[in-house]
Amino acid sequence: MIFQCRDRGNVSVVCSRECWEIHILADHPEMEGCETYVKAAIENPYQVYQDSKDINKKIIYKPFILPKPYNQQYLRVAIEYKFKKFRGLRGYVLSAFPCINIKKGDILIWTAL
Amino acid sequence: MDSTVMKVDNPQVNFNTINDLKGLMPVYHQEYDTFYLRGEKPRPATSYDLNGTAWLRVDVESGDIVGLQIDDFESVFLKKYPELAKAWKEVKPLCVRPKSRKCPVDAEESFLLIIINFLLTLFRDNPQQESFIFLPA
Repeated sequence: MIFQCRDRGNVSVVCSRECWEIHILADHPEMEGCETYVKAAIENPYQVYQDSKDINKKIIYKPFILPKPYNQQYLRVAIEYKFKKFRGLRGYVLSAFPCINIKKGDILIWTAL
Repeated sequence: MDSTVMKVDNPQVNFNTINDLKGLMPVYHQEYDTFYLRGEKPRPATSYDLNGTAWLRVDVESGDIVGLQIDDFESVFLKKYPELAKAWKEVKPLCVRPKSRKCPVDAEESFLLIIINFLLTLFRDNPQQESFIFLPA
């Protein structure tokens, strides 16, 4: 496991080593060394969006958190929430990468402002 | 609370480099249902949302397009654009990670051309969006 933390709704969120290395770093090498920023964004987001296509997915945006040259952009983190009988509700990081703009179609459900 | 709008200094996407995607490799990550066009070794880049349909991977210094990412590729994208689904059916076995070494180049190139033509149409119909970040005053 790369990290485990709690989102702003106090739900446990896990980032597995497999997801981080095989999915995130393999296709987004700019995220090398950015685990702590992803964790910080989950714990203290700027905006939270509901994925328009999957009710179990939420998207977190946090601007100005990544190091240069991505320091003026958003960090976007997608989390899938699953309910298991003994573990209860838990979130799993699906993707994390810098982006210039917010994805059209997703639904804003919470903002820090 | 009052808020101000801050225009951030982000790269302007150089849409003239869209044809560079032809030289890239299609990769499909089945577990995450995500399709990529990328080099053998992906380049660090930021991402630009194209109308909620695809992420363009953009070089942060030059604005050149260096890759493409489509989330929910089979579950949403191909259902929304069924004209691409038939071509995908033939190419998919060659793109699923780990990538097959016996990939026929002709089939791969044909699919790349179909995807790029589709993107060019999408660009024409959706002018570039500005990026703004709202900050507290």
